[in-house]
Amino acid sequence: MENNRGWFPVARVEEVVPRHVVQAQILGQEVAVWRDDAGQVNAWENRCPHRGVRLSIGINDGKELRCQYHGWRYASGSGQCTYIPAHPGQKPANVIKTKPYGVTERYGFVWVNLGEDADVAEVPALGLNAFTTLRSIYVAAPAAAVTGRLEGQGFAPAGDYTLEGNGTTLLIQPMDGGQTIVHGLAAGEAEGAERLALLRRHNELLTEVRDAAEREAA
Amino acid sequence: MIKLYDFEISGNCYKPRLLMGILGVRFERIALDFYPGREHKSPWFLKINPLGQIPVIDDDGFVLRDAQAILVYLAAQYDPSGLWYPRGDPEMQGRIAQWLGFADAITATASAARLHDGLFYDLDIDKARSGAHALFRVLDEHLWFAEQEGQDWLCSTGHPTIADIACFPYVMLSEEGGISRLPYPAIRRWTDRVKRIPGFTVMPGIFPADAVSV
Repeated sequence: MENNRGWFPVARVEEVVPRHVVQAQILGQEVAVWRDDAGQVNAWENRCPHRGVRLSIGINDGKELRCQYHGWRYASGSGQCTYIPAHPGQKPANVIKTKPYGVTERYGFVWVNLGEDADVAEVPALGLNAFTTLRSIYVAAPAAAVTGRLEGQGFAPAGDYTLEGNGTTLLIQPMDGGQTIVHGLAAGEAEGAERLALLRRHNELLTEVRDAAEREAA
Repeated sequence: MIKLYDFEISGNCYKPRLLMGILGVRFERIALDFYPGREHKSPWFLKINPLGQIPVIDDDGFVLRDAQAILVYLAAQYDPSGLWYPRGDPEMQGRIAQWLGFADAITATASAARLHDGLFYDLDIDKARSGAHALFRVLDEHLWFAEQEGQDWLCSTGHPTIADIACFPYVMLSEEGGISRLPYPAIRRWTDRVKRIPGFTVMPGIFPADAVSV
């Protein structure tokens, strides 16, 4: 696999909450994203190396992710299997580990790169210092159809999978050929009632775009 | 003691089990052979519930059917804190009733899809799934905006209510009907919060969360 398959935001940093596992998907690949109690975020292939069950239904205990099926545990950071309940006295072999992806936090989002040894220096520079992250909108339509609709709503392409317009930067997360998530950041730090109103306005606009893109894709 | 006419893998029967577990109410389970025996349609059970549906409770002779109605009764009768079904606040009562109705709509779609996939019910599966997705969208949006205002639960009381109990089971079991929750991150966070309510119990297909919340 090439080293860089592109950095994509998968969730607002606030939404990768402690003791939780986010189920994400990029370019057809499911990713389990979780934060340990020290704050470090992990992004792993969403598949237990033992029997293939989704790790996103597992338990984040703050230090390790425990598979829901047979209880195998994987350490934050390394993904190394630390414990196999069926063999409590044995140290699991070093080769038993989850498949880690590149992960970093920037611009209020958790970004994931499916490439091996992905370089965080390649996360797109957005040129935003102060911003307000908006509600990410799921659309059951291909990324190209969503982008096309957004261009008709005052947004213009500003790099790969990035659009700008209406004082807002949009980041496109292609889940697979038919599903897309649109993340957004508004310029400036809005607070209180002003922030809530901004969140509602953006949600309404993107809901219209979503419905139109889905009608077109249907 | 309360008798619960029950079926282990029914999400609707799980609702009163879940609430009674949380409230510490003791109950006796009368297991029906729902599938494949269809005992809920048998002559003896139709005398208890002419609709031929479970759950039904019998609390010392007071017989009540309908999962949502049972939650209302149990909370009103057995929750001395009054937090699970707050009374005296018309708006809150209206809001709770609204989400109890929403829970019924989830049953008609997500639960129907699960019956199709798991118990071979003959129904329009595409319609059931798309109906569930339409509801989950509304739920996810509601929960996301609630979080922005610091609210963890369906009705903004600062405490879970019977509305959360009513909506939780068939959301949590949706994948058994081919309905992914991947598009609904706010729903996924809310289901983790429900699992951390003290006294929370599981059913087949619903796993526990880590006990400790940070």
